[in-house]
Amino acid sequence: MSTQTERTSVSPETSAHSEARTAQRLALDGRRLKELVRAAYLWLRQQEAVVNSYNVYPVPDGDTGTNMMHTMRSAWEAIATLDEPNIGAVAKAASNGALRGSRGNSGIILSQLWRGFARSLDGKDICDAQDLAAAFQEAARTAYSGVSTPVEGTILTVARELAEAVAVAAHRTHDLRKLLEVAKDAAYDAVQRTPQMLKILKDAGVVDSGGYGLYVILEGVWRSVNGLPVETPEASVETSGLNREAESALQREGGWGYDVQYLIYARPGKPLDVDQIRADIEAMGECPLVMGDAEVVKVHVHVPDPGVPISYGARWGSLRDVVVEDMQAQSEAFVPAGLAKPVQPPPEPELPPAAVAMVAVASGAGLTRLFRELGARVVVEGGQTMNPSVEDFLGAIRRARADAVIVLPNNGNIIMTAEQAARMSEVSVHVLPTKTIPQGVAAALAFNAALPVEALLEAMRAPIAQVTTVEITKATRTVTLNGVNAQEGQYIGLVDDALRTAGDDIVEVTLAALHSAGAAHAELITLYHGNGLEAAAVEAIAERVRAAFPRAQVDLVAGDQPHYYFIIGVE
Amino acid sequence: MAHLLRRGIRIVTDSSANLPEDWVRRHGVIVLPQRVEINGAMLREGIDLDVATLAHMATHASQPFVTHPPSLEEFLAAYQQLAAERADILSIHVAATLNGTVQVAQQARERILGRCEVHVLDSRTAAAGLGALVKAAVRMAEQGMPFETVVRHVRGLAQNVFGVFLSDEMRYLERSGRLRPAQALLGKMLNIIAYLVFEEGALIAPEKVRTLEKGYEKLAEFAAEFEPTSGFYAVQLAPQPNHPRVRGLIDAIRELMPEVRRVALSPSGAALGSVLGPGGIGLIITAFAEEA
Repeated sequence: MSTQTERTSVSPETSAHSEARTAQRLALDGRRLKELVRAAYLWLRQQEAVVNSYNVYPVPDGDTGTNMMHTMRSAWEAIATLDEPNIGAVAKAASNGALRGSRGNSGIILSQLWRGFARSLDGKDICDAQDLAAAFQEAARTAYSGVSTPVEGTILTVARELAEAVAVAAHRTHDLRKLLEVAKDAAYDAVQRTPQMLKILKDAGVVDSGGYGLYVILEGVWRSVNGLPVETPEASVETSGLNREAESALQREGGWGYDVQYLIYARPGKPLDVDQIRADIEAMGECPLVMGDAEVVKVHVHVPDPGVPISYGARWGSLRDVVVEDMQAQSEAFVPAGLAKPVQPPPEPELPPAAVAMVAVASGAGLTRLFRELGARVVVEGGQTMNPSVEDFLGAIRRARADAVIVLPNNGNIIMTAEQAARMSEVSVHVLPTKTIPQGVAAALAFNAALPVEALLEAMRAPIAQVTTVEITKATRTVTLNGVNAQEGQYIGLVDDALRTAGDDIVEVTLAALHSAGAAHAELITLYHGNGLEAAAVEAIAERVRAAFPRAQVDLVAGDQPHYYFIIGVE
Repeated sequence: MAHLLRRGIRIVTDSSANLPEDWVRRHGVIVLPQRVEINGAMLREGIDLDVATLAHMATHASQPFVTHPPSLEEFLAAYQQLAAERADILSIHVAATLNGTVQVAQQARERILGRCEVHVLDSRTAAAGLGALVKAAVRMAEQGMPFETVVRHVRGLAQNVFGVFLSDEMRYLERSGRLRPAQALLGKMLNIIAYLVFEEGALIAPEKVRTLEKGYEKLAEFAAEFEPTSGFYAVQLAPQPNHPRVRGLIDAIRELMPEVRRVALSPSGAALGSVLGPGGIGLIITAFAEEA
């Protein structure tokens, strides 16, 4: 790959004589950084599915590539309209954007890298080789210190090793282009070695997805510097060494037709039925997202024919902020300006102020309703499929209008995001580290707004440890983990996030996972059934569970969650 | 004071106290009946409707039953009769949070003021708790204590009566306003059991549990805060010693407090029962020495 550098000219502002000029200037300014951020974002977006494929567990969640892409998109959006020569200012703006838009643990760490990078460049007009080396090192340091127990073999290792490599190289050369190539190559080497550092990666036969995502970002930067395209699918052959089966996932992108978004405002006397709208929109297409209340509902869906959701929405009320995007065209000819203007979230009616409020994360109509009824003032849409961003949390915390807010992330990959939002919020925010829906339900049941906050936190924290969580889904790829072999497409059972069973019969898999979770001695088994199972099948499985565990009370709840046939609380 | 001219103290209460008929007669206590509206009929508790019948009807009724206080006329008749006997009247009733009995008693008192002394006391409890307060009042009155002293003491004792309950009867909880409609819906989704407690006169549902076993544990833990010599009453609409919920509760108490000698059974009465529903179960504790 390094041979590319010799013959490729650098970006629009340079020419065939660029080598000499760059060597003289040895500098990177704010405008140039902006270009690199855009390239990194676009390239990561291109490679999102590949990054997602390096998931240790063969489950349809924890999408590292998606989370990092959204984080980079937010960094880009924060600087997209800036015309600023000062690199420190651009880095700072991008860093703030990354922070607000960060999703998932990998997104949070990426935003920490940005924070250190920007802090190191603060006040600088331009960045030379020494500045760049220092900025990479400060980025890695900041990311390490942001994690309570840093683990090697992850994005942290990749960040540190590339920073070290750049620092060493900066003694030899002042050519930024060469240093960026060193960074990219060092990242690649570090990614390749992650399975040696982290056994679970080796067992699962993958490299670390967050580390790989960071490599993709640096690769995007390097491609831009070397004048290579960052927006066409063909370019992905560059990474074929790591691609494998994710190539096919990449092909699927762009085949979705239109991305449709709008707000429905209720007509006087005709309140909107959010659940009904959600159910109907979900039936229409991919990636449905319906949020709101009786007065305003935001709709987002990918459909082959944009007319269908639009005329549907118009039957409910008056439509505003209608955005229709041709995703095929978008992926072929990306228009950055369009991305800088996301649809505004619907204005929600203000809640009366409260002393203490609960904010929970859930996906699926049933689980959302459940948390609302358990007393959550605001339910943040998200979870397995779409991890909410720091900004989503900040918005939810604001809307909760309380002096103290208790957040239930209900997913291990969301806890860091919630904690980051807690640090940035003006009110007192307490994140209870609930990693699963059943843990969240157990904590939420103890919510009592009449208690003083400290006592309430104590009361809500205690039940979390009493619950074991079982999840039933389908393997997204073939893998052997913990001695369990799961073929792609088989049912798999996870117990507290670890793979325990696999098989072709959902009943057998469910019962085996429940046994492994200690259901034989449980008092209560709660089955939250998701999308994708017929009511009769759900009943039949519940009956088998009741018969297998006669000592326990078995409750059946419609969770409507995507991807997971069952999420089960055992307590 | 007027009481020098008086011929004694008489107690008025309502059917929520569930006092034995012969005891009531022996001590000259007047018991006014709660009205129970069930299946379209209006029945008088303890007169047209006994405990077992109410429980049977409630289990099969399509709608939750509700209660109405004894009428103003009944109160006036009772007070006027006792006024004619030149008695001071202590009128002790089921918790005002359960229905309007105390309010009606106050209205009757205002009508009769000047002709005799009437003190209306919100017991802030029901069932055996109310019964124990009535018995204590009768005992003090019969010992010849002055009216003001009896009132003060009974009021003090009322502070030492506690009640905690479990109910999974969402229709009753919702109808009685103990759960918001949304929470009642939640109860149906998750099979939630409300944990209710008498607090400062109100019967509130501050917590929820998912299984009866957890609920029994909570009630037993509540009981364990008291001296084993306190009065412990298992409360249900029509409690039977072999009912699984009654046994579950008593077993949980025995496990935590083996030194408790007796957990008596106490019918909840219609007013408390209209919150808990026929399946509700609970515990009333009198943390003072009762006379056998």
